[in-house]
Amino acid sequence: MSRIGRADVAFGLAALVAVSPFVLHLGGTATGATGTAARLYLGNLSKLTFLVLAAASALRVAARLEAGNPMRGTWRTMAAGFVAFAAGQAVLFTYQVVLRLPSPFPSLADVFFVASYPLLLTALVRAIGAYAETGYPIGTTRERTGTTLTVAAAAVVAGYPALKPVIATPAPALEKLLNVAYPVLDLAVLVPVFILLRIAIRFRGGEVWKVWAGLLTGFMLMCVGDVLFAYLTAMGQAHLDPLIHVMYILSYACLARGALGQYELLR
Amino acid sequence: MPKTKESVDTIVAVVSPYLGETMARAAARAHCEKLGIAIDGAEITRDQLDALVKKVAQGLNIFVGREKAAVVVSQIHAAIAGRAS
Repeated sequence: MSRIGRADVAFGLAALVAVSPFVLHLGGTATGATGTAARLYLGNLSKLTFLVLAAASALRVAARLEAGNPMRGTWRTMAAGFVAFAAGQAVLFTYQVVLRLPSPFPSLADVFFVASYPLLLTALVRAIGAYAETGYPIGTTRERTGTTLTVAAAAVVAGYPALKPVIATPAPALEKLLNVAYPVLDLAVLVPVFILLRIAIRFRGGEVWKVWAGLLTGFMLMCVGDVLFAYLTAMGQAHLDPLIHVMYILSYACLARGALGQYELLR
Repeated sequence: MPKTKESVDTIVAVVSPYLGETMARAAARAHCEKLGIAIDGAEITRDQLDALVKKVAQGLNIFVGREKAAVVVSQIHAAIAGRAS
């Protein structure tokens, strides 16, 4: 098996182990103290580890790409977004694992999470520009405009019913604002994600495709996690919380694999 | 002089692990068109071949960096030389 193949297997196994206590809980098992401890430690540790790995890999990619390479700026901005995200997760880790307290919402973590979105959005938009500079047949501007309009329309159609109960549920102003802001920001991120997916799929079978498939899947799962978080919190469906954690863990694993894959591609 | 189709096939074979075969072939064809190289033409001149490899490498450079792209270019030239000999 190749080095890249081994890394794929290692990531798959790590993600599987990390989500298992949450999946078992959803299935009605692992509900005791051991299961709770496994979810607390494994969940927090895996999320933070994957995000730190994503940030470190993106930073190394940006440092390795030469000046003038249009992907350098993309990876620098994406690294900044991942660093902010990892900082937010580190705050949650401190509350839950170090202090053994339920993490408040909102908290300092949300400052970092919210700050990461414009960075990640900018990075993805810059990536579209970088792809265009390759001179390869990646589709027309008209196609990209069509994708933008379609995804934006689908985001409104899917987002409105999901966000309606969030808006209607009484909650402190900042909490409600964040519960609406996260899914809205995610849906905004989905627009460049789908444009990039349409471009990257033309590279299927190659290492470039694997990098971007990882990253884009990660962003999509993050969006699903945030929409579920807002919706289930508003509907008081706390028993489905493990599903949200599964989405976040898989999302961060995919982001880390994508970023590490890009670093491996440069070596 | 090397054959056009064989040269394009060699370029595609070397860059496919990075770009995937579909994009590698589409990119090579697109650049041939832009450079006025007839894909079904019998032979490709050295200048045309260098220009084609340079164009494909410029795009690859964005994904794999300058150093790795330079290695790939060397591999393409070595493969084409190997086929010609």
